[in-house]
Amino acid sequence: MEKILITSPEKCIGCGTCELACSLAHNGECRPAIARVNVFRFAKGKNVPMMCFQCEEAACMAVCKTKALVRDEKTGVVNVDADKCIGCRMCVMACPFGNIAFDRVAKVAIKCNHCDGEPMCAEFCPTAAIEYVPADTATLNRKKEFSAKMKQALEEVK
Amino acid sequence: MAGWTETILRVNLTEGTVKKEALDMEAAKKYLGCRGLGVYYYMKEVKPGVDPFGPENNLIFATGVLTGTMGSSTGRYEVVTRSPLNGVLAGSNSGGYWGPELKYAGYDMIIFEGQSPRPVYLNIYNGTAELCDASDLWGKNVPDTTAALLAKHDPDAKVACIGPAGENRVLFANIMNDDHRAAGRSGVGAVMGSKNLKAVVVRGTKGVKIGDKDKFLAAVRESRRLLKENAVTSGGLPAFGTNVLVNILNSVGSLPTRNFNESHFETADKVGGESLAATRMYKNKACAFCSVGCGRVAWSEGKYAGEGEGPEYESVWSFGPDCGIDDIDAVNKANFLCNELGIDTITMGSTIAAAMDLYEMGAVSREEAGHELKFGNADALVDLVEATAYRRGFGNELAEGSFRLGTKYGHPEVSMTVKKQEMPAYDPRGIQGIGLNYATSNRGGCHVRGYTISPEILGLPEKLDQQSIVEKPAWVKGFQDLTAAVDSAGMCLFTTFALGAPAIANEITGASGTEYTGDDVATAGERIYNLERLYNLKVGFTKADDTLPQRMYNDPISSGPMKGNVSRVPEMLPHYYEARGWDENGVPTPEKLEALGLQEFMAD
Amino acid sequence: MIEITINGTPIEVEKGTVLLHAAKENGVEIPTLCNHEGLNREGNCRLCSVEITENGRSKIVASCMFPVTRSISVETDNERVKRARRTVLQLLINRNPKSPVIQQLCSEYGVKREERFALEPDLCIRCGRCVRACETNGTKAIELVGRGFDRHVATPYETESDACIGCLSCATVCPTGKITYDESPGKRKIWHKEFDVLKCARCGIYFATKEMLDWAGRPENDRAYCDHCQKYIESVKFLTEHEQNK
Repeated sequence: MEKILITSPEKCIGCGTCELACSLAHNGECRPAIARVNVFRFAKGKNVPMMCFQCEEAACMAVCKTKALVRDEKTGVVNVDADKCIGCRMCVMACPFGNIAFDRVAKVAIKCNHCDGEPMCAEFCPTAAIEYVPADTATLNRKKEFSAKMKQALEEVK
Repeated sequence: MAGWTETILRVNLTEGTVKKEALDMEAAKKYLGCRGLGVYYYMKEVKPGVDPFGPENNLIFATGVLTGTMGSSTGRYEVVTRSPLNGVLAGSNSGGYWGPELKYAGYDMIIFEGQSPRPVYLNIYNGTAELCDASDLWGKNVPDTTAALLAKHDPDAKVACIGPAGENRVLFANIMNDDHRAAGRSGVGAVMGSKNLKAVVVRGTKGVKIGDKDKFLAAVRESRRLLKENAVTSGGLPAFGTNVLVNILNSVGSLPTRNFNESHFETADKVGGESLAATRMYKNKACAFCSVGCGRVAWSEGKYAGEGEGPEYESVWSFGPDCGIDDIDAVNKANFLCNELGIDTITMGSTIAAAMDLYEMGAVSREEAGHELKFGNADALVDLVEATAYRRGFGNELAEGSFRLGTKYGHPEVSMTVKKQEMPAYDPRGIQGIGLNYATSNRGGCHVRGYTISPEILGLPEKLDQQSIVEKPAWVKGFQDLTAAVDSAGMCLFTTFALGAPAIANEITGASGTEYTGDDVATAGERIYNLERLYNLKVGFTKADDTLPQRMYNDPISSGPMKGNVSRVPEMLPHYYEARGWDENGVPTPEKLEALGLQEFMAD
Repeated sequence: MIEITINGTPIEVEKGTVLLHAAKENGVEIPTLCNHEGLNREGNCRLCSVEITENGRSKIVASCMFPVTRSISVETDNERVKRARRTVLQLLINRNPKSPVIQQLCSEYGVKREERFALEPDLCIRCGRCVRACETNGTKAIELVGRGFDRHVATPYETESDACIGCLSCATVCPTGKITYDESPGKRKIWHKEFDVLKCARCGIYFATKEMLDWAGRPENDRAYCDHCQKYIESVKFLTEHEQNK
């Protein structure tokens, strides 16, 4: 079964370990600014971790002309094929959520790829605010409800 | 070396210049960062005994080898400078997010020299660092200063700043970062104020390199497992914060009450962590990269309505039991005010408690105090916090701390201080080891530099009898040394409930790519502790200062489980010196200094 | 599947696989300058030349343009191949003495610049990657114009092109660093054209040209933020919705 990353902001304590786990996994350094996941902190102890939804109708994929963004049909994850990326940044322009970025040093688009099936953000989250779970009806519904804008964006793409 | 940016910023406030310099990597390796590295640089560059408020006193913000890495609770940095409160070499450690951000901007440390002719703040954005005019910020409290700076700069930047207390040179003013976290003790905020430095804004988008990713991840996994399995770091602290200790300390008869006149507070539970969590807390909150999350996001109600973070156990104790107050809203409010105004809560509460003591004995009048300053007067507490920050009325006396207050009103015995700094929330008559730690702590009355409460009360790593004294000197030394290493590496002290020197060494090894053993870490800690001691000796502290207030020896605990006990520090002290390899006067021997690689500091 | 040998090792490849890819999939690296996996292959640089032998007859081919359809044996690094690559590199270094990537290859193959043939130095090797990137993106703002020695990449009439969106993919794919651009706060200049670069309403970094956002079809009312701050805005929206649902 496909697995997905779901977040429970109410459990998030805002430590930001996920950001370092992510940058360490992908870039070998501790660097929140290049992390695919980010935690935003608000008043009254509210924190929201944000990362790619692996949209069913992904705007980034739709706009990519070189097929550098490809969905792994087995996992449902949208991966970046770095060899095919020409750095046009259209995916960055197109993602309505800010979940894909451009690494100006490596000259390649970067996004969450579930760490190829072993997401480090979920592993190191101390409160299970980020979980890597089977994509059953219940978890998928939770993911979809995460953002009304996501649903709206999906309608527009369709 | 990985783990470090290998770059420091040197800011001369007199000249208005900002320079980048290479970090002394030999020193970095030896002193691990934060506290150790700051002390090393300070002692190399500043002659002993300078006026804390003078331009020749440096103010150092230092991060550690693990700060900003995915090690355990690595959001820490340290402020090192000479304390205006008691003249020791102050090191105030703080969490939050500021320290890591400094590293992401590309700096391990900032050294401020001199004195700015006008209010300024330092704005750092990666490679750019400049001094900016702060005249419109001067006078603003911490949240207003922080908000104004974030509105002006990148909203993801992190701000460390002083409030009115620092500007007004309140001797125990702190430096606040990320609104709610404090480099709290020894008056480092007053030094910042004396330099006309209002804030340091940092935004960094770079990263910290990791020396051996696989080793590092293995170490981090192991540490996090240990932290998860530990009842304190994964149970008590996240659920109730440090304030979980109010009821615990009260139950063991060692909760100093009404300025240490008693050690048991009847209604302690009303201000304890359980009550806070049940009635006044939004949520717990973590500093950077911390799996514990002991921070409280809380509020207060009624006439003391407010909102903020904390209070920590020490703050609850100083405003609560130590002042004879059990009103959770007043305690929370006093704590929030301290954070907003930039004041150390321990010294603030304890100084008010001393003032209450003076008032009750008739040494301070109602006119002088501006209040009927009896123990239990919550209105006075809240009002005097603000008065202190602005040095208004009686607040101007309180702003000097309890030692000077007691002396001024003819009763130095009301000052519950060691080396002129207020003791925290554990009665040294009820818990012998912590008393020895207070007496010998390099920064005066202080619990976080040798937290023997861990074995003496919490039973970690093993349970010791509170009243026994035989094994305590060795434990105090061990905790002081390990803490010095942990503080210096950039980890939070609270990790030591679950992690020992080997686990910490593994994290440092992975991050830096340089092999450290548990012994290396412990030795680094001992080296740092001895170096701090050398500074204190150079500025005139002696064996006679390694002591507690006379009340701890002469007035036995009057009630509760520890009734009848006094502190036995004098009996333990020679054994402590011996355990440390110091002579009978508490001076490190040449052999000891040589063994620790401190020869360069040996002369005079 | 078709069986071929590469440097003596037999391997199986799917019919139609381009030889360059077949080699790479089997761990044999062949140098190339003009090939880019995201773009059409044109065989411009010939650096990927290899020797193929079929029925006892051998010839040099550009591996990026050679689909495997029959059983052949391939040599990717023998003396004849190296000689072919040296010839390619000789021409390149004569024209492009300052390109680090060409310098590196020449040092590997032992090729030195021949001063007597030296042309006016130029970083461009006419590989056409940039042109293909621009075409692929659909913008078609640049093309290879002129013949022989005068051949070069340009916008039509060597002036600012309406088609260019300032996305910088031409510069990103350029293997030699020939294509440069100027960036100053709020401005980007490339191919004779100056773009306004939009400033993120939250953090203040300059993140994209209006033309890039237009081209990607970003709604007019949703382009105030850089990607990071867009994420922040989404988290704010989430919180707001969350509060309402409660």
